Amino acid sequence: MSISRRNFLKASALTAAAAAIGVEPLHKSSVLAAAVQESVVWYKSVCRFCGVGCGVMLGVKDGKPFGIKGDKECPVNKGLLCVKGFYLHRMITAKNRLLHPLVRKNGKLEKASWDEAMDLVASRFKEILEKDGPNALAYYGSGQAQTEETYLAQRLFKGYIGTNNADGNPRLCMASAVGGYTTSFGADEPIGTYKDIEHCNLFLIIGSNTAEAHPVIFDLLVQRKKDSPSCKIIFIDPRKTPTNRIVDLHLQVKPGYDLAIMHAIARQLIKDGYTDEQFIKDSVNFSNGKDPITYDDYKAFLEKYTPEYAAEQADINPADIVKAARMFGESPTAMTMWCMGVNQRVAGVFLNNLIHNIHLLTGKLGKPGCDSFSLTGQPNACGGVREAGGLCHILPGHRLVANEQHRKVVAEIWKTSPDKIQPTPGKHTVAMFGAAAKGEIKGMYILCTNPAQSLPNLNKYIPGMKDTFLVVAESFYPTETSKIADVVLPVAFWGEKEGVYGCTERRSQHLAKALNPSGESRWDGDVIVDLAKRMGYGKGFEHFKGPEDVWSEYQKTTAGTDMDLSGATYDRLKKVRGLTWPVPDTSHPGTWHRFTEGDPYFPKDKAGNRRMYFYAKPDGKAVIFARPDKGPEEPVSAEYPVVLTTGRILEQWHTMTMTGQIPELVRANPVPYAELNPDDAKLWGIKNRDKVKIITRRGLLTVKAKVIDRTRKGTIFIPWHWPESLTNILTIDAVDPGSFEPEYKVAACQVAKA
Amino acid sequence: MIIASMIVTTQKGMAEEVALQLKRVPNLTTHGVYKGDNIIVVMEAEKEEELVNMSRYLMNEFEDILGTYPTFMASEDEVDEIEEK
Ligand code: SF4
Repeated sequence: MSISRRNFLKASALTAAAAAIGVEPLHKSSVLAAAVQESVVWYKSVCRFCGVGCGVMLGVKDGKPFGIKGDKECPVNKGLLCVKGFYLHRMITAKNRLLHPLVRKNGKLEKASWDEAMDLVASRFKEILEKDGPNALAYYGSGQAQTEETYLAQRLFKGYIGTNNADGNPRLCMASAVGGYTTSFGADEPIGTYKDIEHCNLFLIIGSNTAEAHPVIFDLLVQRKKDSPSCKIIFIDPRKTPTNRIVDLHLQVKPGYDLAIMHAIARQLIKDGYTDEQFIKDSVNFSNGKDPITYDDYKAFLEKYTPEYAAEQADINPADIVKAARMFGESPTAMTMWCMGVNQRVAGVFLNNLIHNIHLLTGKLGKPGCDSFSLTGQPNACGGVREAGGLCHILPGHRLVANEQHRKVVAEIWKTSPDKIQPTPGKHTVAMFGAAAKGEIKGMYILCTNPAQSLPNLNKYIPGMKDTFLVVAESFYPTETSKIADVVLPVAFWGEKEGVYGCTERRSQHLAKALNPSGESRWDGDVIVDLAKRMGYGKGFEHFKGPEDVWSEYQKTTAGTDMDLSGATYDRLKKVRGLTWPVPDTSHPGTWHRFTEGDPYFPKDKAGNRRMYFYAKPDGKAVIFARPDKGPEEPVSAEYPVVLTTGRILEQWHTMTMTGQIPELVRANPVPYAELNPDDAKLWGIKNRDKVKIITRRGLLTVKAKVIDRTRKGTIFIPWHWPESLTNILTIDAVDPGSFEPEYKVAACQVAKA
Repeated sequence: MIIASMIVTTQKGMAEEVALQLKRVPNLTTHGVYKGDNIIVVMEAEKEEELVNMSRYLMNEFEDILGTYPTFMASEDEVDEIEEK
């Protein structure tokens, strides 16, 4: 019997949908689907976009990408994908794939051979090294690079060239979360995992449009609310977003003024008796940021933060603060989730600390349904950059460049001299590009990221990037950064290389190589090893034949640390749907909660009767910080009376290097726009779709007005994706003094009809 | 012509009502409510971009829709008739 293509496709569509939610195929369609997919080979991988870490299956037919489906066996997404993830395979064959090296000649980028390009990079880097020393060179990496790639780059720059000017773009998104975790708990990354969502009855979401930025986590929250009628969600954010659809209480705060609210919640929790006094006694110290203080000192510090004071700061209703505190206190379980609205602030680390404070006060940590759980923007910001030493102050395995013992251990594994690794942190991202602008950094290798669009206050940094000898390893051309590079190296894209990604919940997952690299592109790791050899460091790199060798060496740097990956061998990772570290041996199933029973490093002897022992702290106690309620760097003024905040939308991702290749995604929101509150628009005489000028102390941008009841009065929101309209010429480059993360989320601006 | 499917999730108890409303949306057919509040929908459209547009449209226009998760998409023109086995 023959059926039409249309009926066949409908049947396949129904089968796929049924499979994704785990119901029986709706009719005989499964037989048909199986028929057409006979020749399709499916490879297990992980989504290339956000930090949720959804498992995907990449289908390959006749050597070409055929399609994507959610991996039903992956515990993260159980088969579900958002619209971005669904188009992943299309990026592999996008028209803008870079297929051969480019070298700038007479001002123009021209096609070159790999030998010519690599010889040029190696000779220029050597020349700079000899003349100006190692700190005239820099590496700028990415939370999208695979762990093996980040590890190799750190090894070359920190261990052989001898500079700690090796940072990564998670500096722009996650560094404040790192600072928060390390200061409060002693070690980076969350204590719990996504599994806690299934047990949680109170979610506090701060500074995250989860529905659009992390849609699959949003679905987990939706499902939890449905399964548990008593489950409630509190939302602290300056905008109304699709996330509001499941929210029970929204505190629509003035951007940059939410620290006082967290203190007021803490104060209320104490006053209402919701604290876990035994937990505090056993597992908590108090600090004012410089010196230890007592619990009573902390209580006295909090007295200033009445609901009325905090409400006045944030311009909200004080009763809502009391309500939020009581909801948090009354619920036996609680998870706080946050993202860039908390991290991209000059008080980002402080705000992270204040989130941890309320969990420490109530003991809502390290048990089912409880965690202070930072959401991650990039797919391997945790696994690659935070774990494999991809920031200028760290080494692989959560180790520090400033720690002599750490340098020794890592140098031995790297087969280099410990003296080669400098004992002081290198330049963080903004300082690194600042040094390039001043001519202090003369050569830079940029891997898989687009700082000429993503840095704040762009006009200040682009001239310096143009003057620096800039090498960009990228899969797509052009990007704003590759356009101004001296050498552009074509590298394999997702699906064309093997590696590991580590997502938000400490889960390391293997990505299979399903296809050969396009054109002349090569695996990034191979290119770094090649550069090392051409620079004369061949002996230290000759044993790396492929990603598995790199991973196996990297595992050694994690052995015995709080993020032990010894048991996560390639063999094992290829079979399982990821492992949540610590996973100290190959029979270990992975860890749900850290610092408590079940964590293989939980020191029962030291802990005694304590439920949690924060073993990365000297006395096993976490810290509650009495931090000042610091406001934004650039508050509004008579001259710049409107708050500008920036962010993301569902269909696009970061600088559109990838999603910009998919016309279907681009057309969903084709033109750059600014969201204006309807009352403001009326006041300013601006109608929907009018062109508006946004002016800050740093630049001017003209975009379309979208008049919509989302932002607070006096606040505008601009998504930052479009390369033809660089939002970051407006943003401020002031950084958090602890994390050095810039304050993308708050700037003062003027708005006028164009 | 493309054919695509997605899961549409709704507020608790609203799936049947939303599914009824979706029947009025051109090019969309609903195929039942499953596991509480998941509606399976199939869409036929001229271009692939319609899937994203539809997803955005559903999120914007229906307050009770909480998420749209695509599960399948293929073009009718790609392959000729297929024999059922
Ligand atoms: S939620 Fe994130 S990881 Fe999951 S499919 Fe969407 S973009 Fe990919």
